[in-house]
Amino acid sequence: MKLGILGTRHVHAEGLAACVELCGSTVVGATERDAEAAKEWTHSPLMSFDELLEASDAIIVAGTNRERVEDTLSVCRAGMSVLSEKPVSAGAEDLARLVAEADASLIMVALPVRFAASLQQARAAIQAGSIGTPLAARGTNQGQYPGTWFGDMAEAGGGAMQDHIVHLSDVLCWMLDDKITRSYARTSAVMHPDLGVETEGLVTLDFDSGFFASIDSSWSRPQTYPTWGNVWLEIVGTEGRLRINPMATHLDVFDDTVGKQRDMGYSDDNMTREMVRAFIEFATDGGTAPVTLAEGIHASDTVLASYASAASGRPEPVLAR
Amino acid sequence: MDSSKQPVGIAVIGAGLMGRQHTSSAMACPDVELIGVTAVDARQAHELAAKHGTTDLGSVEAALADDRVEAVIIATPTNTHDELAAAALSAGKHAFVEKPVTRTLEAALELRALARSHDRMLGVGHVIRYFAEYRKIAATLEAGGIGTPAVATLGRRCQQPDWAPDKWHTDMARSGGVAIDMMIHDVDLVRWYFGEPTQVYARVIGSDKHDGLDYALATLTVPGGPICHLHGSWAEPEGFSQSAEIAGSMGMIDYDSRGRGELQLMAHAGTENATALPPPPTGPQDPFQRQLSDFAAAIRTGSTFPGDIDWAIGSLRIALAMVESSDTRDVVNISSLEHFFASQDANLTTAGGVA
Repeated sequence: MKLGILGTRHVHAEGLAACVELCGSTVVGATERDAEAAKEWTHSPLMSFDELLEASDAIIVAGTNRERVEDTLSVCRAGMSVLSEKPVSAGAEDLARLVAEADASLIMVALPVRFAASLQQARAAIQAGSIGTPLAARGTNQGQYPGTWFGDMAEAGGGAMQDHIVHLSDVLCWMLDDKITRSYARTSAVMHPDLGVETEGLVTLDFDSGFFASIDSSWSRPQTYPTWGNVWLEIVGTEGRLRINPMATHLDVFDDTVGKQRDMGYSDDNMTREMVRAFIEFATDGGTAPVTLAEGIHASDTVLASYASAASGRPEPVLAR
Repeated sequence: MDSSKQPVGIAVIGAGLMGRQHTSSAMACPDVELIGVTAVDARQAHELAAKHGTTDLGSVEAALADDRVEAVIIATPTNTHDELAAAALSAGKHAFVEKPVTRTLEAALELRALARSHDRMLGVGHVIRYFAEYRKIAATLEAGGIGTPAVATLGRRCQQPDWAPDKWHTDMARSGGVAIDMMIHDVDLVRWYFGEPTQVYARVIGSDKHDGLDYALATLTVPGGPICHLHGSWAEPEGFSQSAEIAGSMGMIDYDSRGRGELQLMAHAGTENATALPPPPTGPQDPFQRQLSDFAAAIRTGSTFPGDIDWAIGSLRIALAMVESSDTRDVVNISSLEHFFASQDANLTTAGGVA
């Protein structure tokens, strides 16, 4: 299959392109409107939007959050399958437009965490009743400020919460077959007070079933942290407890050349590659998207409720669509 | 002998998990003299006395009637603290009560008034500040070692409560569940490290739903402090552990008791290894012994005891607010402690009792 990259400014763009090749498919080219970003893209030939659609069987949308909805809709209008980066939109107006105009049968949302082997096994264990009735969870998706437009309110629509809530909120909904009803959030900007977006965000989520969970989405990892951050989750049920750390499969390497300890992953499991593989199958065979637009929208609705809560100081409802 | 150095005569009431801990620490503590122990469960009391070669005092009444007993350590189910402490204070004894001081705020305020009117010391087992790891964290923060704290994640966990024969922990009305019984230590840490919280939001399962299993998450707002996120679990098959991670603008402190013991001895018997307490250092580094030394010094010299009743009430208010927040599904605002006590004292003066 031939894939095109529409927008290259997301930090995941290059990794997604590499995973396309790991899956035995080809990246035919990329479209980048931003002149500076275009200079930095060396992975594949740059071309116009029309040329990209012409050359590709399916499209990966990997620009900024602000660009995402228009890019996704433009691919839909051409009747092509699209893998759209997370979050699905930067704000409420974009989200409403997506709901109104998008053809959900063509869209898969790029939420990769559920494709990690440990998460797949965890979901199977929960659904087999291994921990009884799930009651509560605590998760962290802490990282470092990614730089570039990620701290720019206009391009990103927020900071750490916009960047990092959706991974674990989506994984919990998917594992539990549940929906999030409310969010309570606390935010601050201690790590980078000059950005104008929150660099710390801590949310507590209520689910339809009565389940509750917290997610620390903060860009709070120090510069000397062994890696970019973490994805970690513990789930407590009536009969047992699950703890999931898809990044646990690494060696601790003490590296004087970089002046810090480094995590060196050794596992062949690659959640992004498996997500891209699932997208290629979806683009080929159709059917229900492996991560549906509705799931992506619910994750973004959760983020919006979290911003509303940070502003009001009280728990706020997640829009039920 | 200098009377300020005279060991304080102590009786331990309760022979459960904490009663055994305090008895062991009191035996080793040079600042107290253990007169004996007593407990509702006569067999437990007898076994504990025999183990340490001390006296089974037979009853609380006998302990309080014993002139050698100057102070009692009350290590019984939380809901019984108020009656026992009131009896001790009324009998002219100093009282050291395990945390949480009482199950309700009203009961704690009554004890506070009673201790004042009898001019007796009333200390509470807010032991966390005697643990070397938490002292080192305090010193590191104090020295600005991680810059400005941004997010503090503090927690502790142990197995589904199985250590009390009558399973009193499973009764929210007696124990308050994991939020009030155990997370109060992390409330102590927040107050110690960062200051007084003004808002609490929490979600709590409650120990009365699933045979004691409990899990709670709380977010405390501290003006000028980091986002404070607390977790407590009575759902930990491996037994006790505690952890603290404080991320700041210039670095991060990461402490987790799991896998960091300098000595680990495990029997092959599986889950029987699970304990509900950290393995404390023995000897002079034993946090419970250090706490007891400070309490004895407060009695003898009038020195300040960090876990005094005002501190205890401050932490109990926050712990109770966690459960209230979860019950009401809303944020609970916390008035300033000074204001709270001022209004209580005003009530005492005008109404002659606790309003």
